[in-house]
Amino acid sequence: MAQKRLMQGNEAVAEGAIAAGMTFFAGYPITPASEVLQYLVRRPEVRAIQFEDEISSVCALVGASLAGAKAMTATSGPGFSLMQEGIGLGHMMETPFVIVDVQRVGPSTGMPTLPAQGDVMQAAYGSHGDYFPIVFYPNSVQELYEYTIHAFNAAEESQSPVILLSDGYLGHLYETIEMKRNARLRKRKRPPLGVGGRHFTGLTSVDNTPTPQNPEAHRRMIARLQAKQRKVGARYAHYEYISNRKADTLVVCFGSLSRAVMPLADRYAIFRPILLYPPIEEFSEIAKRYKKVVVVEMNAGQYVRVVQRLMRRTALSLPMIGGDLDVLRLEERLKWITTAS
Amino acid sequence: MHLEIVIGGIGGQGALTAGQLLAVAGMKNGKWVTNTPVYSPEVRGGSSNALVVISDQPVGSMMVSRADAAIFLAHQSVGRLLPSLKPGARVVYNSTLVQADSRRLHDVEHVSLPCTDLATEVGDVRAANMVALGALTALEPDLPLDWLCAALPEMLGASKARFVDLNRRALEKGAEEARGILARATN
Repeated sequence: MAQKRLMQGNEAVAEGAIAAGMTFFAGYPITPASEVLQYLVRRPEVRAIQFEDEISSVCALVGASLAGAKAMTATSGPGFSLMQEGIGLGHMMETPFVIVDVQRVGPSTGMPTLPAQGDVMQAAYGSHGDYFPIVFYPNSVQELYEYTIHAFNAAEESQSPVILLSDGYLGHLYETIEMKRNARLRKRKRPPLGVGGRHFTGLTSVDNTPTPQNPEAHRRMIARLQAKQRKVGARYAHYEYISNRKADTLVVCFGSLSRAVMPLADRYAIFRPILLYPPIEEFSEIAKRYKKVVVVEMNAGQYVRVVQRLMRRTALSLPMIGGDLDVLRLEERLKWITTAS
Repeated sequence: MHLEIVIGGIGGQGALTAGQLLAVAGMKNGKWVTNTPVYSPEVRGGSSNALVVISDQPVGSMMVSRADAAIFLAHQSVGRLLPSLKPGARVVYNSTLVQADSRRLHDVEHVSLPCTDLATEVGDVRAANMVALGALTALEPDLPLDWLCAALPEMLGASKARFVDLNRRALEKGAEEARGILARATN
């Protein structure tokens, strides 16, 4: 058994990245994600660089990835917004890298030291055009370590940027962890830029040649990317499901908030997706066993839309915004919403 | 064992450091621990609280809502953290900075100790957090003073090894004073 250690969530992400074989990190400090950069600059095995902003950081990841490196950045909401263009570019050029978003209360500067889950939609739809990202959202320091490794593997398998969501609570949480590698590491399939022919612009391409006016080629490319992301996403359809035969309500929750819901497992069934996108298809079967489904999230109601689409029926939305997560208030509001409707 | 502790202070008082010492001490003794720092964005003078869980089982919720024990290092922390205390919780007030009218909580077992003044006596005003932690060990049977003293070298690390002795003396001072107060109260 691996030795137990006390580690901060952001540090666990950094350690997970090192265990996954990351050699390049680019980022710009932002609360509550800065510790990832601070931790990595002290590690000689990683080239960790502070860039002038988030836009250049994500572009550096695209370049590092094309050169063959496993690369990552860590940011929070405002920085994540700035990175969206580069994330789209990464999808178009099929470059694997990992973006960690330690969410805080927004929009804009918001309340920087308080946690939120306001980027759940941005993580899947923040860039432009059609792209199909893989998005993970763990709920403990142990899982942050393990899913950073999964995120690197999923990036290599899908040849695309993968998002690892965290939040202010998880990032700053100190918790007991056992550092053990949970998966075999995936290696880069494609040769680095400069070896053989390779398309590397943001334009639609055919056979590694930019083809800006070919709708049929574009349709084929999007269909291929979509199928590939679905296939790789299905391999990582990880979730935690606590069934409850006495309950008529299924509570859907994720990230740090789910930790506050877990003690209520005597009253409710609980479904916690660890893979947020592509959405876990199996959920629709699980949801059929319950009369009501409530989605609790630290935003005004974002993932509830995904849940409704999967179930093809209405779900209740319980927003817990403001960053001051209070367990007693959560318990009260859950009771209120399930009895009132 | 399942112990939930809140430590409230203002930035710079060492509430987060005290939380970290509790977490390291719990872990070194085979427990599952979480330490959640919650602080405001001010560089100095904002609220700074640590929520600590020490348990025989892996920790479910790390958000403390029914704390078994609390330390209030500053006046401002009392109102903010009061709703998260369990009835009968064990409480240490830093009476140097928590005014007397804030120290009249009902339904808690408490010790009022001038932690800031005692820390100055021990050798450094910044050790008030350790004096308070030491005092808590006198109130809380599940939290031995030895655990905290033994965890100091690991928590402080090699670069701060020279502060181990000062912090140990502060912990011992707090425990000794609190034991004295409790003994006088029962006699």
